[in-house]
Parts: sequence; structure tokens; C-alpha cells
Amino acid sequence: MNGWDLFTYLMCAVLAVSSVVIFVLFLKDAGEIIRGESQEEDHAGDQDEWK
Amino acid sequence: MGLSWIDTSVVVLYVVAMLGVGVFVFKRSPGFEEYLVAGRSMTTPVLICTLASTYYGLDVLFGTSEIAFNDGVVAFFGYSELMIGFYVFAAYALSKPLREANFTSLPEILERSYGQTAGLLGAFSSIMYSVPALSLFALGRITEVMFGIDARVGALLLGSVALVYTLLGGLMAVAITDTLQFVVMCLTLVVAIPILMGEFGGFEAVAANVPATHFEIFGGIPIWLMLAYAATGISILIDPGFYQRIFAARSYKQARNAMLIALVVWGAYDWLVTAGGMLARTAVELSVLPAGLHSNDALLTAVIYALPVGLIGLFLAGVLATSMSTIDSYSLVAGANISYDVYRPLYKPNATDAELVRVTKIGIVISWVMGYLLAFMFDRIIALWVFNASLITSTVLIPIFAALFWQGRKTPAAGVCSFLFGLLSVFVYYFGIAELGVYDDVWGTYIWNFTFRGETYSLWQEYSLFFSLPISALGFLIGNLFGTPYEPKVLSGSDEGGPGAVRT
Repeated sequence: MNGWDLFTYLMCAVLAVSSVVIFVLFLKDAGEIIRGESQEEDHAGDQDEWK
Repeated sequence: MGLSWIDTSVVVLYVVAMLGVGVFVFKRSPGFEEYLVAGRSMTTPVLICTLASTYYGLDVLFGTSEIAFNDGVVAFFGYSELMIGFYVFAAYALSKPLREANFTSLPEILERSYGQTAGLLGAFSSIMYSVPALSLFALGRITEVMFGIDARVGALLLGSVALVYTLLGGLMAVAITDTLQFVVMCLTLVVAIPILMGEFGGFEAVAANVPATHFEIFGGIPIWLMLAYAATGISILIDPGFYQRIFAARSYKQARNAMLIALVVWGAYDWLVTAGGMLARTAVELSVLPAGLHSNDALLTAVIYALPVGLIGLFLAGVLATSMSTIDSYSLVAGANISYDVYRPLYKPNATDAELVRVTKIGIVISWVMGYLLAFMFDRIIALWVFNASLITSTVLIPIFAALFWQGRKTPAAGVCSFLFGLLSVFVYYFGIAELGVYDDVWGTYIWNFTFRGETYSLWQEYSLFFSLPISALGFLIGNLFGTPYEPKVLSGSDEGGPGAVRT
């Protein structure tokens, strides 16, 4: 097994773990998203910034 | 390609699931903002999925693997990863101003800063860019290879599935299907590549059987061409689908984080596709796959050879997902441009939510039909897409960036002149090179070779942005010298960025 093999398996692991984790997090948020709940946490008052 | 009933069932199940999502969202009768920007409720995970699946179409899956098959690791280092700088810039510089101003579409930025004419011109560029011709063509081609049916029929049938769930559920349906498609796309590749490695002997076999140049990082590509390919990444800075996702984010931080995490996913995906192309080439050199195998079909053929029954169906569903997630997103963008950026300002400034949703749906159908007709009307569909990408970048990048980042004087003439100068320059350059140069079959583009003071130079059609962007900037400066600064209309009452709102 050479460096390219290791790199390829590493990328497989990265893609597998990230896609599963992202999907689980999506499922956690799914209810709120489907209900269309939005949160104005970091753009309160930003309407005034657009001049 | 003969498919087992198990594989066919997996593909059918996937198609039914996509339609089911559309029906589910449709039952909630979304209003205009929910239909177009998912109620601005998207969080980081769903944004990652919809960004990743939208930008990774069949052009990446088969285009990158084709380059890897022919030229090796340059597919990853020379073509795919040079664009990272633009994505990082977009994450940090664009997400905040775009999200915080509560825009609804890309042309609206021009409309708010330069007036109605600039907004309408921006809508023209956005529609041209978003018409899903290339992805419908690719979908047809892949159904021809997979199921042996005519490409036009395949694109009509499966493209219609994407059309139906987009019509039913808008961006919410697109985002949820994108999420499912993202998981299918990634996991099928994660399963397929290690199987190909085991089957064909990994990279030791690759090194022993492909030319040594396949491991040259930049593979001998001309430096100007490499810069030109890297410059195509600039289109992310002006991509209407990308903007729509930022507008739909719950906050700019969610959008920024999603883009940065998506970079990791894109990088891993790019490498696995590159590895797949090189392993397929090895299989050809080892006579495991036929010698005459077309490089564009190499990855698909190798995967079908190596995967067991059931997983083939899942991989094919992933291939369809790759294409459908692009068709749905851009049909929606073009439909929204027709309703929100053309119909609303020209005919019905006070259109209700229900009217805008209805016209958006008509717009989605119009853009899909245009895409379908263009897909099978032109022989060189990729050239058409490259032209449209150059067109939108040359016409709206300068005025949009001036609107977002320059606080000084801005006149309607600046927005219009910048657009028209960019438009004219890209037309003159493209058709000039086509007229003066010759078509190169190897590189698939027109090249004009000329001699100046004893030195020979080459101009490729792909270099158009090097000329058209400075000319568009010049148009902006000239336009800004004339007229008076634009005074946006002030609306009374609620101004939450909803339909018809023009902000001060």
C-alpha cells in the first residue's frame, strides 16, 4: 500500500463520516426547517446596513 | 447495459422518494418566500447538502474522471482544487452582505442599487445561465448508457421527475431532495472506490500500468490555460443558485460555515472521482475492461464491473441524483427570475404571494422546456454552457460587487454600462476567436494563434474573462460619471424583504 492508496482511503473516510454526520444533523434540524422556523440571531437590525 | 431487477427496483425507489418529497412539501401550500428561499430557515447541515449536490453535477463525476483517465492526478490538483480560493473568499466576503440585506434574488441586488433597467438586464443573464440545458443533456446521455433508451426520452422522463417535485415544493423540496441526493452521491462513491481499489490492485497497479506523467501534479498544462480554468471558479462569486442558498440561510454564519465545510466534502469527492478515473484506466491497460472504452464512460463502466448487484442500483441512483439535483436548483432559479425579477417589476409591482408562486411555477416550466430544447438542438452543448457562464460573470460581477462593497456614488448608468460593455466584449471576443482561430479537437475549443514581433501567441476562447471583466469595470466607471445617483423607492409599512419590497 503506497501513499496514494492511503490518501484515497483517507478521503473515503472523510467523505463517509462527513456525509453521515451531516445527514444526522440535518435530521435533527428537519422539523424546524420543514415548519419554516427562522431565527434572526445574527442579523437583527441589519436592515439599516443596506443603504 | 443489462440491469438486474434488484438494481432497477433501487433506482425506481429513489425516483418515487424524490416525488414523495415534492408531494409532502406541496401539501403545506408554501407562500412565496417559503417557496423561493425556504422561509429563510435553512441551517448549516441542509445548506452543506444542497450546496454540495447542486454544484457537483455529472460534469464533475464524468468530466473529472475523464481527465484523470487521460491525464492522471492533474484532474484533482490542476483543475479542481485551484478554485478553492474563490470559495473561501465567497464564504467570508459574500455570505454576510448577501444574507443580511434580505435579498430574494441576484437581479434584485442590481435593481436596488441601480434601478429597474439594471435589474432586468441582470435577470436576462441569470436566466440564460440557469436554464438547465447541460444537466438535461447529461441526464439523457446517462439514461441512454444505463437503460439503453433514447437520450431525448430519458431526459424527458427523469428530467420531468425533477421538474415535478420542484414545481410542487419549491426550494424546500429542492433542499430536502438535495440532502437525500447528497448522501446517496457520497456513500455510493465511498463504497465503489475501495472495491475498485481491491479489484484492480490499488495505486501500485496504477503506477505500474499507466504513463508516469499521470502522477505529475500539474501534468504539463499551459500556465495560461490553468489560470483560465482557475478563473472559471470566479463564477461561484456570481452564481444565482449559490446566492439563493445564502438568501435562504437562517443566518449568514450558517451560510459561511456550510460553505467552509462543503469545501472539505468537495475536496474528498474530487479526489475519489480522480482515483476512480485512474483505476478505470488501469483496468483498461490490464485488459479487464475493453481497450476501446471511451474515457467519458470509464468510471461508470468500471463501477458496474466491480460492484455487486444492489449496490449497482444504488450507484446509478447516485448518478441520477448528481444530475437531478442540478436540474431542480437551476430551474427554480430561472423560474424565480422570470416571476420576481421580470414579471413583478414590469407588470405587477404589488403582486400577491399566490400570484408570484403561480408565475414562478410557469417560469420553472418555461426554463425547463428551454433547457430541454437547447440540450438537443446544439452539438456543442458544453461550449454553450461555458459561454453562458462567461456571459453572467462578464455582465454582472462588477456591478454586483460595487453594489455590495463600494459605498460611494452609484448611478443607474453605471449598472447598465457595466452590463452592456461586458456583454459586448464577451460577444466580440467569443465570436472573434471563433472567426479568426481554428477548432482544436484535442482541447475542444477555438484557438487563435498569431505572431507579434517574432513571437507566437495563442488566444483561447476560455480567456474571455481576462478581457471582458476589465472592460465591464471600464463601463462602470464611464457610466458612473454621468447622471445622478440612484434614489431607491421607499415603501411604506412593513419592509421585511417580502415580495415587491424595495428597500432604502
